[in-house]
Amino acid sequence: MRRRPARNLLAGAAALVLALVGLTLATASASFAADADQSGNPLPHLADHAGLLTDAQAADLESELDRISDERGVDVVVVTVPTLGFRTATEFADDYFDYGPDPLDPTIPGSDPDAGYGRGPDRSGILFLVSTEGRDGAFSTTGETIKVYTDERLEGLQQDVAGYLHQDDWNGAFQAFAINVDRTYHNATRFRWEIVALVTLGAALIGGFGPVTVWRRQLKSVRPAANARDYLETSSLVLTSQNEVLVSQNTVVVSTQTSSGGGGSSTHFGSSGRSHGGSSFKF
Amino acid sequence: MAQALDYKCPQCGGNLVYSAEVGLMVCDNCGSRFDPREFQAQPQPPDPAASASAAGAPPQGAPEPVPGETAQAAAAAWPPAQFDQYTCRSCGAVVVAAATEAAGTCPYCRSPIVITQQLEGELAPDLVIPFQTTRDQAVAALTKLYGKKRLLPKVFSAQNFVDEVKGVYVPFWLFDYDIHLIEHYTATDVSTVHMGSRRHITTRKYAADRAGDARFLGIPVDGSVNMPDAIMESVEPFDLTQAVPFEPSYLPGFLAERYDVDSSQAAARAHDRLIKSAGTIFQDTVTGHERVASAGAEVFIKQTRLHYALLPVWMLTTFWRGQRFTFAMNGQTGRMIGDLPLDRQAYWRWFFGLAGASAVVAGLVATLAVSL
Repeated sequence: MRRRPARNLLAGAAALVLALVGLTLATASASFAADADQSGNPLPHLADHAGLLTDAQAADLESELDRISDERGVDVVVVTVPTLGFRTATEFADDYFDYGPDPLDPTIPGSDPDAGYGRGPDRSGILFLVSTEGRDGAFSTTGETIKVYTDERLEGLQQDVAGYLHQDDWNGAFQAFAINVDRTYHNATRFRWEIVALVTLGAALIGGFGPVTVWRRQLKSVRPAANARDYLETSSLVLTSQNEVLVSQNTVVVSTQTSSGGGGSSTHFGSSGRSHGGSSFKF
Repeated sequence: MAQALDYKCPQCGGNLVYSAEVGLMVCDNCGSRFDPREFQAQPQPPDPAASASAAGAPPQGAPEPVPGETAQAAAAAWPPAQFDQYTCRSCGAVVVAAATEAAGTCPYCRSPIVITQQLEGELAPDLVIPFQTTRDQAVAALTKLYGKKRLLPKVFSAQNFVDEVKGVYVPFWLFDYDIHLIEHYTATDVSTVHMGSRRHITTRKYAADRAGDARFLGIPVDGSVNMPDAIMESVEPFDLTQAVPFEPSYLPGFLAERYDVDSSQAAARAHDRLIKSAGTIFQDTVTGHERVASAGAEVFIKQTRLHYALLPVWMLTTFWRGQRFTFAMNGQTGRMIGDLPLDRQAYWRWFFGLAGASAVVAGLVATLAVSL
């Protein structure tokens, strides 16, 4: 009978911890869900002003871009135009993302900074621009997508689409773009849940067991002597001989360039003042 | 029958005991003080037990009739081999004590007694470290040991009182070793050179040997079967530079035991500790490397010297929930040791509380980090 309150106490403590861990994970879950559910603006994710796709290809691609955009919580956009006008490919892609299409001439960027693409407070997203006149291509990344698409990953993306563009396989290039974005986001975010769960569990174990283990050790002070160094007469030490030989030498050459998709992302500013990442190329 | 030596005050005839507080023999009656090194035991009066026996009247409190013509058979059977009997010179009582006891207190008149038979001949100690801490200090040290222990049951420290406090001169064998040793080390250096986009990491490993002489003085091994070895080693170290030539006059007022583990048995433990001490003695001389690690050693014992000493230990005992807890304090340095009980409820209460708090903080930080 005397132990029952203690058991209840322990059960209560265990339940409290489980509840707290559950609450933490639920908060994390809600946070991720909120990321993914941030609905975008009504602008279409495919703007084929150069008319490079058939209706069926366009419908198929747009549906795929909509799906990826909603699942990843970023705007994934493909824009084709016949000409860049006075802008460079990078400027055009940045402006189109920031301002959206001009209401009167949708083949050029508009001027309303609130009418552009991008989801979340940092307006995350990626835009793939193709201009047929000068065979220009450009990627523009914004917000969180700048960090996801490092320079190295942008180079990989460019290589994915370059082969199709050379052969004027527009649909192939845009599909490759969509696949690359989907896969890259999957790889960049797939461990989020696991990381949070592991960090939470690890912190619980270390934060719980660490102090109580130290406190438990404080209760024990009976330990057999490990050695007799306390009784060494230091003034008696006489070094009579010493020698030292090199027994092995080993050199390893390590490349300082990383190959894990990490590294930094180069950025620049668009005409709106917003920071962008990305790259441009000829095909 | 052996005689129990006691020390009487030359001034008043009261009992003299050794005081750790003042480092002198002090009369418990008049407070006179005497240097134990110079103090000579007073001429002992005739053995009252023997006188009483001769008169045909056994002394009061004697467990058995003293040896006589009619008591030979009983005397042969009592006391058993692990006990000896002594005659207290203060009150004449026949005292039965453990065969290893060298000093104690007469259970009848409470006079401190020293059993000289246990301290003579082969049993005579070479050295003694006199007590330098008092009973009150031992009790205070135990209270301090209880303090600030989160997982110690509160009722243990609140309700607990010390059942027994004994100042014991514990018999120790002290081993001196003059040794020659050869120590082996591995040393490692790592250097990095940047050449363009590449790093050249070079690891160099060295084998270093050091040979030399060293001396260990007074590696103690407890020579009493009754004393737990782990507890005796836990109260170390003793400062043997403060040891003095043995005089029985340091013992009155304390318990003392004579050895019942002989030196050849004790030598194995001293040797084991000596070997474990080798390996890093000359490590300070292996310099100029990033990492140095011991790779073994060979020890050659050139000379061994042996001393028999009585070293001071306060033994404190208490019982809690039917379990006996023994604590010990080094009577020279005041180092207190002893294993305390664990409050399992507090253990899990703290664990879940800390684990929960850590989980919430880490979970929120991790969520925030991966969300950004």
